[in-house]
Amino acid sequence: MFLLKLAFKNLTRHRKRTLITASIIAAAVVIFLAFDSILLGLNEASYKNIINYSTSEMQVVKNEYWENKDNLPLNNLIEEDQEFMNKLSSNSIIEGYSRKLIFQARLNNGIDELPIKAVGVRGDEINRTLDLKSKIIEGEFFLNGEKHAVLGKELADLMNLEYGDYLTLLVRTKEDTFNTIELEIGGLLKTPNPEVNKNNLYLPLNIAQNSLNLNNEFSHLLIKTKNNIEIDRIAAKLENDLKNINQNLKVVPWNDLTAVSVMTAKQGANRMILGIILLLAAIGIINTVILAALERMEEIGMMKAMGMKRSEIIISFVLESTGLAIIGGILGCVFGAAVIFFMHNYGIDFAALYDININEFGIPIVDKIYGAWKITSFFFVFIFSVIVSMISSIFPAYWAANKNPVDAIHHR
Amino acid sequence: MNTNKLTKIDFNMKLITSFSIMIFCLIFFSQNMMAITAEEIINKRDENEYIESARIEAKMIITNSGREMTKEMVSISKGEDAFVEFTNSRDRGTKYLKKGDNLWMFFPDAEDVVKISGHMMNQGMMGSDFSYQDIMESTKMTELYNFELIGEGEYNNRTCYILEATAVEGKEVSYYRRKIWIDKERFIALKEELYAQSGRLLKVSEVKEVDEFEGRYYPVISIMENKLRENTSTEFIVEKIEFNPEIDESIFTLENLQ
Amino acid sequence: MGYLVKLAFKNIFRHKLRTIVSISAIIVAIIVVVFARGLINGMINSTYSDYFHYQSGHVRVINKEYEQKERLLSLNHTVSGFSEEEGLDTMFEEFNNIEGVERVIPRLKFGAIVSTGDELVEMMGWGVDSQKELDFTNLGENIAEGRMVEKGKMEVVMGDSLLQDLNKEVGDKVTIVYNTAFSSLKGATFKIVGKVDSNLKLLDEKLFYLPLSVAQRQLYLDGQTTEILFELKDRNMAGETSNKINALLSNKGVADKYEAINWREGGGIISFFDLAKNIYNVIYIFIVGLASFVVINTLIMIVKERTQEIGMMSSLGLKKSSILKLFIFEGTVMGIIGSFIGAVFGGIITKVLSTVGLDFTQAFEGMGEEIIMSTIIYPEHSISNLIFAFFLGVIIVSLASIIPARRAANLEPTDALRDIE
Repeated sequence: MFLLKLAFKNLTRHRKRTLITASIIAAAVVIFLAFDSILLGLNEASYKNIINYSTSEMQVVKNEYWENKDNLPLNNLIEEDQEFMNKLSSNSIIEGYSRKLIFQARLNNGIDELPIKAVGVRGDEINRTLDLKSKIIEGEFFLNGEKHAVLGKELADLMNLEYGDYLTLLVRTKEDTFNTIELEIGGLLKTPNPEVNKNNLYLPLNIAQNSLNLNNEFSHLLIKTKNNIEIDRIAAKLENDLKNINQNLKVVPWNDLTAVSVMTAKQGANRMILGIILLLAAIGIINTVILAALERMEEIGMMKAMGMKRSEIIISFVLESTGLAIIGGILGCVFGAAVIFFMHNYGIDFAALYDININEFGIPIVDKIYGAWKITSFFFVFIFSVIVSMISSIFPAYWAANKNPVDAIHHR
Repeated sequence: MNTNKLTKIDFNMKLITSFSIMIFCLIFFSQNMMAITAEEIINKRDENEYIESARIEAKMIITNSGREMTKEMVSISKGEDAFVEFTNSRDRGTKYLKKGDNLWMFFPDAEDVVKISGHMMNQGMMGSDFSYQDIMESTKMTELYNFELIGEGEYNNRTCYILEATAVEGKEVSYYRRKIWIDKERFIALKEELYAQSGRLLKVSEVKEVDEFEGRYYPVISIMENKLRENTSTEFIVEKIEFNPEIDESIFTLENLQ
Repeated sequence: MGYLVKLAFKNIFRHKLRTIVSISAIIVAIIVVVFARGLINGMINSTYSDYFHYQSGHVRVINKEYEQKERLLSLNHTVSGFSEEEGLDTMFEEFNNIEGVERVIPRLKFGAIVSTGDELVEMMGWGVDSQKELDFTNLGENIAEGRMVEKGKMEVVMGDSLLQDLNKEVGDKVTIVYNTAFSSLKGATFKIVGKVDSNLKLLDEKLFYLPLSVAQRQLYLDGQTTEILFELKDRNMAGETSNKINALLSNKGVADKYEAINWREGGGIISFFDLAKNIYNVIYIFIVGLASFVVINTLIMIVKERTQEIGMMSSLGLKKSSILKLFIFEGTVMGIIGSFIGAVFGGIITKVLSTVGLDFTQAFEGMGEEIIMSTIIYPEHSISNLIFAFFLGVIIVSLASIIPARRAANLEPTDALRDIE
């Protein structure tokens, strides 16, 4: 108790030193948190690319379908029946669902043909899981049964098509028979997901089903959940829930897919940079403690002379350093939180600084980079600085405490 | 007294009536005997056009978005098997072998044979409008389609039966519906319209020239036009054809391919 | 003045422990700065260079219509020279003569398949001029086995993952099938003479190299190619050089057919990297700032410790300005020693890692193949980096010592002497 008081007194006594050291720790903490937040923000944004425009958080498919999924087959589809739909609506995990039928098609503009992915969806449902409607830059999304198509502007430009033009989709039905689907371009999209912009064409689900000779069948059920932490566990639970429906279904969380963007790829290097920042913070702490110990040699000698045990001296030093780290850590966390708050809500506007089409490569920065909140980072960096301080102060404290009182006092 | 006269008139009446009836019946029945069914028309056409076995030397002129390419080939076929060798300078030495449901290709610069499968089968052969799948089709049309005689018409100054063929439910065919003009006299399909299930006209095949070979008619110049793409068509010209020639079975082997 | 310097040195070596601790802090800070900069630069440069080598060059000339059809690997819109008389070779010559152009590299890209019996493996072929590829890119270093293809021969070089998919090895033969410019399917057998292990997905999994002339012949594209890349003497001149190339194209009357695109315009990841580079530079400055902070803190504490001493010197008649200079010198000397040692050690660490590389393959697992980014990062080792860090350290430490030095100089002798801290 007395030691604690002593440590506390020491800290308040040398206010300037305390503040400076604490500031170093705080600065390192802030930089760490900011950088971490930006990286996380970019990661999240790139994941959002997939979740919001392509697969939603989870997809339900038939087991056999998934094995062959790259060929976009028309067999092993999910049959829709009332019981199934009811079960879905009442399931607690599912916040929203929508049906999707994806198939190969050739986009024909009368002169050229381009192989694309055609996606049949319901206009009234799609909002529950994907954010496509808000990315329409011209026209609007179709209603059920409307003979309209929605595609990326990039794709339309490639085929010299504009809003309002007619296009033909050449497809093969379930029996491999040629069929055509004539559609008017009802909307043009520009999403942050380049895959979607370049390869996908959306049309009403029932029109797709009719043209392919499919009866109320679809390939994927997109699922949006109420919370999306631990998506693997939730997916497994949902799969279990759906076992009773007896259609041999499989629930695939979004991160099961290999569509990963560049930001994720750079995690390794980024971790290294974070490590560097932490290292510097550690240096600052160690450095401070050692110098402080050196500076207070006399004091230590005095304390010894007054009868304090060696261990008590060490403890008091360690407590002091810990106190420093706590102060610095708290300061850093508070400032860090302020910085992240700003970045999260207002974002850093890079588009204003750079005239580039970042979306080219799946970097989902439409106009701003948003910071992300990760509470664990706060805990991590705080605990890290406290531990480093504690450890780094032990050695110099030990060394100082061992000095002969007389030598110590005469240190200068 | 008057019975004699009456009987004579009666007799004459009966004679005329029965005679009329007879003639009427004759005409009536002969009309029926002359009326031909869709099935029969198609069968007669198959007698001409369906090849049991043949050796054909042909030329294919492929026009794709304005660009023109010419291929020349020799093909030997028997039943479900076929062997094709290209003879034009650019493709010389390229060979195809179809055996049942399998397709192999051989190229002069290659040291082994390549098997074609999966989605490649749906691609146009040599860039033409005939896919490998189309070429592979050796099943008779009557097994795949239901035919209906919908009328008569004229094509190129020839009177034709017009047939409509609709795919048999569940059968795997490329074109859902076909409208066929069959020459009444020669039983050759002079024009064929190929439709998608949606009703959209996908391709039109027209025969420009028909020749006779040993009592059998065969189309020697035909053009397939892709109606979904401008300036895209394939012309198929038969330069020489030999029906049911002597064919050595060993032709339809992979060894022969190399 | 000289006397002050001597005094500075004496002071430094007098309090060995204190000095050692301070210098150590500087050393570590400088090492970190050297390494961080090496890592960041290494990462950025390698991505840039991979991008230049395998995608955009510094400038790229293509047929205008090709840009849109590129994803189909169309062979219908090629570069074939200025005219009938002035063909591809003439084009190369004229391009080479443009100021600033170091090298002209043609590539013929096309789609191809190999049938492994049960499945068809899709891949992309690049018809290239072997010598130019080896000179321009780091392909030579990446050929793990065998050699590059020789002109005119029916040989290919494939990536290690691709070879695995095909179940083949260097020395085996492989039959490759492709669509020619005349839409005929054509196949040929090639000998696999080399294996590429580059840590670039594109090269390892999708691509195979063959001689340009062979590709042209097989595809019926004699005298044609799908693109021409330019290596410039200075890549920052790409904008001007591409203008010059466009001007030449205009003069020859083919400006409506071909266009030159410089690497900045190409889109794709490179523009993102411009952005990333700046983010990293900011981070880097923060790191330097943090290191300086440490140093300043150290110096401040040193001054505080020597308050009495300062008071003594003051009362002995040492002028304020001299005290100021004294402390600054002390700081500078420590800075020089610390920065030097730090730079040396930092250089050693970076040099070692620059040859070994940091393997991030795990983190890059799911990345797409079109993204040209190496999975192993080599920190950049350069003397200029070391010199930069050295001077940075010295300057910052010197500047940092001004603060405490001023404080020391402004102490009232009486206060100082009385201060028994």
